[in-house]
Amino acid sequence: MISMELSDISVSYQSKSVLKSVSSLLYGGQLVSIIGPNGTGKTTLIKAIAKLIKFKGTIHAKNTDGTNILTHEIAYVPQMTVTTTDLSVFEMVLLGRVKDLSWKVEEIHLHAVTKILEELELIHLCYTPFSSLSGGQKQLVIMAQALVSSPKILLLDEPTSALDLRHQLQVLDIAKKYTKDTGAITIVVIHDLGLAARYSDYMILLNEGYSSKQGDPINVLDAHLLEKAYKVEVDVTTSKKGYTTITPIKPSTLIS
Amino acid sequence: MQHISNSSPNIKNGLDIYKKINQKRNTIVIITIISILLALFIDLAVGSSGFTISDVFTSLFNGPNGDTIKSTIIWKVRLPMTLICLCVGASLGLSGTQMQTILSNPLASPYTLGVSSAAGFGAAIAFITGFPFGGNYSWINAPFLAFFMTVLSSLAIYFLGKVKGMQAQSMVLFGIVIHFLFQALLSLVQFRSTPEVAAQIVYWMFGSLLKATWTGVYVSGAIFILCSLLLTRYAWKLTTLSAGEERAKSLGVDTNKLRLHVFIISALMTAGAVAFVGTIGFIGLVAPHFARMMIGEDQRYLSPMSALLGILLMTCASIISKLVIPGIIVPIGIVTSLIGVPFLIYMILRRAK
Repeated sequence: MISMELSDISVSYQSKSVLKSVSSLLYGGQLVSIIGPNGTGKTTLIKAIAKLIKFKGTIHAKNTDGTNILTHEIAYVPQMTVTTTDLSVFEMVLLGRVKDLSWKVEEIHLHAVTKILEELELIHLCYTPFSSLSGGQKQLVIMAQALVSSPKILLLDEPTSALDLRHQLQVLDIAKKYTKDTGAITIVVIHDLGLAARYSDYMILLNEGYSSKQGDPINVLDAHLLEKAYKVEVDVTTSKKGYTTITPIKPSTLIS
Repeated sequence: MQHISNSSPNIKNGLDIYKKINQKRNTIVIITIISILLALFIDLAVGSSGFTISDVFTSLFNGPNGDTIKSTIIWKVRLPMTLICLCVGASLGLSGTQMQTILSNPLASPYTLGVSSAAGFGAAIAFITGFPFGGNYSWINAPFLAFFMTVLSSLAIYFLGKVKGMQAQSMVLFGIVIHFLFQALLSLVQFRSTPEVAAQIVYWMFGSLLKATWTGVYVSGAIFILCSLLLTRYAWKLTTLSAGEERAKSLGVDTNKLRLHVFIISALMTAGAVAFVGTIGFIGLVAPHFARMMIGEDQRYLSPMSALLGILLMTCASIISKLVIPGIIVPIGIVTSLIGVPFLIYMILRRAK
């Protein structure tokens, strides 16, 4: 089984400490969500895992046979992709296979791109320039690009933030299926605690750069813990259909 | 992802999509090549001695040892000029594209990064000192020192860039600094030189095909072929980089290493081009923009197309330079700048829309 051990991960921007000694042990087949209020280091943590920023501490990501997982086997999907590229959606997704592409593109790669575009219902956009897409469509295309690279570790930064309800469920369903089918580790930064509760196998709550609680979602989504982190009085309930619902009541500062 | 990468009910579909994307590009490349061949023949025919197309064909088939005056003019004067036009245009077009891609800056080009002004400074030193070769070989001095200074300025940008981790923005700024440094040094040399040498320097800085020799054709041609072959192995990585630094990094592309390798190759190509004909602006800036507009970002098409458009622009400029004032060949550097300005304004306005 794939595993990843984060030990004392700390990140500072200039002199400001953003992430403070975060440690965790994650396993393949897990969909891990990182939750927490704005500015607590969620994106910083997954960027550190993707080796896109410098950090202190160690990250050991291992394959089942004990060999190291390489950087190009980790795929990162940012919240927003800013680029003026003229590449079409099809070509953009094809770049997910950049490590394996030769001058003449093999058919297997073209097929893989077509398949994932169909799965994400993007095939009708295949000739459209990436730069002309809406924010939500761009996010889906980058998700397709990440999936087509068959990553061992998939990092999604707020993948549902620009999507409508249907596409939110679609993206998380695909991420969950990918995680279970391939035994990869998927880490999702997410603000919607209801969706996080529904899809996560493991949850990390960050607060002011620290990991204030992690483990089974049912234990992390505790009303007192959430109130302390988000400074909002919340009501955690279970719906008739069995889904956890987190309802914000009022900001804690107003209580005091 | 097993369910994505395996067998293929839709292979034909994927292939069809990809073929359709590339179909238009192939057509554009073919049309450009035909236009270039036409322009090259017109360039060979145009000049102070009037040649018909059949004269050009006959002289070419007679070979370099043909006994007619026309054969001599074609093989000793016009063909080196036309072929150096081809080598320089291709080199500047291709190196411009690569510099714009690796530095993520539409204004990056051999000219704006100071590489060309360094070449000018090298040539000026050669005119003043007569260094390093004397006698029959003194004509090599200017190209030799121009090449040397171009490599030196590129190394300066590279080492300064390395201090900042080869960041694109820093490298562009260092390029601008180098440009101003060599411009200042060039002005100093001109200020201190005799009127005759100053005139020589100014003429060199114009950029002229009259400096063309077969040696120049062989050297700059060989450098272009070698560099473009080296660049083919980076095509997909460069395409990925054009989609954004963070995307490229997260797809496993070592962007700093890529930037370093491609910068060195591009600088070498520029040096090979400007050393023999002098400073030629705008080709390295305009050709990549047009190529990108016509063919997109896929470097397997963009790189050859930039080289082809570089050749076409240079050849058209060469034809104009011979026609604009009857009996006089206007330095091509002046023509490329004059036709480059409206093109660039058009592109900026188009982009703004």
